[in-house]
Amino acid sequence: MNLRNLAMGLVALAATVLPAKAQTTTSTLDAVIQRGVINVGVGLGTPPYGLMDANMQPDGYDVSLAKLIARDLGVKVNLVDTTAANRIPNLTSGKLDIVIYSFSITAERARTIAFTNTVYVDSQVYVSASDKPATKLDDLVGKKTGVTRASTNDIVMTRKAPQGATVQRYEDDASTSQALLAGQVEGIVTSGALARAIEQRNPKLKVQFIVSQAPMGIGLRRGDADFLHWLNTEIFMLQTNGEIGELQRKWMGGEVELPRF
Amino acid sequence: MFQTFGLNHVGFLLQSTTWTLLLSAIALVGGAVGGALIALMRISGNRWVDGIARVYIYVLQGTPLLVTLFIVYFGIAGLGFDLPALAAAAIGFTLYSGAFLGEIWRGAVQSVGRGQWEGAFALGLGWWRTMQKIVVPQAVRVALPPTVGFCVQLVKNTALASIVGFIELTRAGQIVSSATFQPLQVYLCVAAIYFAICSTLAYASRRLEQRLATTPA
Repeated sequence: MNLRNLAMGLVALAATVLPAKAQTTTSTLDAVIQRGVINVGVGLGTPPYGLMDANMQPDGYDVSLAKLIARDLGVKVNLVDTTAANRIPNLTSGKLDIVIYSFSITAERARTIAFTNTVYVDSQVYVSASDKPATKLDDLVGKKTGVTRASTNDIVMTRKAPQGATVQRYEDDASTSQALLAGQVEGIVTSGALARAIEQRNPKLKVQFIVSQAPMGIGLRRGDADFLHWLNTEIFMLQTNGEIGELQRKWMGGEVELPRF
Repeated sequence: MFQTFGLNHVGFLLQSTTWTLLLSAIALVGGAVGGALIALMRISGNRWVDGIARVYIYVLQGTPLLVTLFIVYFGIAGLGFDLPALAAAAIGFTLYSGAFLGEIWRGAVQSVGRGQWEGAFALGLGWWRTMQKIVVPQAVRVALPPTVGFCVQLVKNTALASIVGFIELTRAGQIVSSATFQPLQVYLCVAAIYFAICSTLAYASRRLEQRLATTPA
């Protein structure tokens, strides 16, 4: 575990230190069109954003959005499975053109990479057994709460957990919810989209309260105003013609309002 | 939204096992070449050549493989070269296994008594002939168990290649586990596949050891 922490630390360090490549004269927008392929980073282990369907093909909200973007650019999509910790280095090193990976917009991240307007607003919710009600964070004192390591849920709970509450970290969403089912933790904090699916599958579990809200955007390299503007135009058009709404109904169980900056 | 863990998922796991096997093979072949070179440098007797090999081993053994892979993949890209993921993984694993195999083999060669060298020289054999005909055949027997032990570790370490975007066995397990929410079943299946690979290696090594043991020295 220590090695892993060290590695993650280096990942974060490198993300800030590595020189941002490809901030050359040509915009990524032109480069992508010329290449005929857009390299998109997605996470295939984060349903409902990114997952493998029953035929072992990539699917999900983020993946579908990536396909719409490629369609409107008139290029092929190259989906690259990445990890949460590698999202930023993959962009700064020029390996990927954009990252669509339930990517919460934060001011800190925006110092290193650029974010488009929001493509989804997810909430972080507390899920536990329906017969053990909890209504606020203070109710978690003396209890163990599971989160997925390095996810938005982990960041939120690390910051907000009251004194006396224990935060237990797991490697992926499946392990986190397994820990709840196995009784290793009293409750978990997870994304609202995922919590709805867990609720449907396990009637004994219930979403107790909302911990926080996280707007998510598409990540790209800084200093590429052309490409950023095209992506924002694209998001605006997909919203106006209802295609984003359709994806939200399909994957998230309902439409949410998308704030713009 | 969730799927039930089934044959399609097992197929996906097996398919991703080919990456695990390919990465292991690359690491072994690259590491064998690098390791032989490092071992030779270590026993060369030249202070500078030995020193370079020592520093190499010191740095690579003292760095987590995850970090080595990260530096090769993202670091070289930062310098302006676009290195494909497979090349980055090949370089990273070769650097890593070369350092470990080099030390294992150096130890094995040095475990062959000085008397063997002196006897061979007295018979008029040169350095290379002595190495080839006298020392290596004896060293192989010493080196075999730790070499196979390292190979088994290496097979499992290929899981780290997911950092450069490979969907190998462990990453495939995570993906299937997330899609099915049946982590226990999925990871048991993943463990069984790793076990099949590693126990095959161990079995082959035992057979080889037995064969070498019956050969008169």
